[in-house]
Amino acid sequence: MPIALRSGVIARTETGLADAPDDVLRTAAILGDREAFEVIVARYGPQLYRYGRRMLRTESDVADVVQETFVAAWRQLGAFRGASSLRTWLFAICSRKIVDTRRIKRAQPIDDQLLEALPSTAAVSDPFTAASNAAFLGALEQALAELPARQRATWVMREVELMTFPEIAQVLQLSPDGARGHHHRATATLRIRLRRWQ
Amino acid sequence: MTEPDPLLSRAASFLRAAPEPGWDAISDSVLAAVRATPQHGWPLHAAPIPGDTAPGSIHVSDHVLRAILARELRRRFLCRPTAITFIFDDRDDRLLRGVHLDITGSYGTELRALGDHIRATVADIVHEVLGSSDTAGENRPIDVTFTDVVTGDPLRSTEN
Repeated sequence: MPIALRSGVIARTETGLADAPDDVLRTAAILGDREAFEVIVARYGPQLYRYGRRMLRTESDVADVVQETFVAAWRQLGAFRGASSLRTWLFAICSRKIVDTRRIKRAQPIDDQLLEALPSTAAVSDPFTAASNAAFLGALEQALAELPARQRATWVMREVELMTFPEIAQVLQLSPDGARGHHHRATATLRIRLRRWQ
Repeated sequence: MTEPDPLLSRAASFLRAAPEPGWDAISDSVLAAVRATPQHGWPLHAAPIPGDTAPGSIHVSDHVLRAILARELRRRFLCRPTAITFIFDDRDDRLLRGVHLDITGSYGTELRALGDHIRATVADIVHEVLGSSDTAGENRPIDVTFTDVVTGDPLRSTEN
């Protein structure tokens, strides 16, 4: 029902929440505003899916975990007081769901023949502009899959999701130094595995 | 500290920018699952439609009423509700006696006038959702507290 506004009381003309900051969405969602929560789902769904895809064995596992993460987040919102960022909180829920599934993509034994089979890059100065992009990214995904789960999780959150070490530590329930250590070892291993592309 | 590796950094940015078709395929089912997930609340007495003499009673969860109020206020006015608290009757804790709202406003808005509009809107919505035949009647106190004012649209301002 429209309300006649007195001067000085500004009626809203832009009602969408798509570009609202996270804390605005969080507060609105805690009050039960489903539209606000759906913006949160749209904002963080791709990130959680991307993370889950590198941590779990199958796409169906990823779909289950991401869905369970958002359902749990919706149920637990009232207890979330914003001690961490919304993104960190969602990643922490997702990370626990991943562990609970017991279907984590285990570190795969290193197969030297895998990288031997890739084309030599001696004449390719920039793998991103060469025809071997797909092969390089395939090698990267394979190398990531070879990492122990915590190293892989830490590297993906740091390098792909651009999270800080304290944030990663909160998600994985580690100390920030512990997260740094996992990231350091992951990076060192990836450099070795991908040295042919340097 | 780990030295940044240019090749790995570029690879990571490529992975970040790559589309996630798997997410696109499941996003609708995720939203459907969330929509199907109820949040538990406290039942509030609602008046039956006038003329309805069937036995039984109607209750509406406080969560439902709070969600409607939050959505309608932020849609109608340049403001942001940050807390909505219900006050219950001392003897019947399912009877709504009053509503208290914390609101973030915007500089340049006449806050007292906005507060009046918010109170009128809340009264209308509560009447629409719960009816008025209960003993709380039409005189439930509705208190509005402006807890913050920000520059511009409160839905686009980050909290301090």
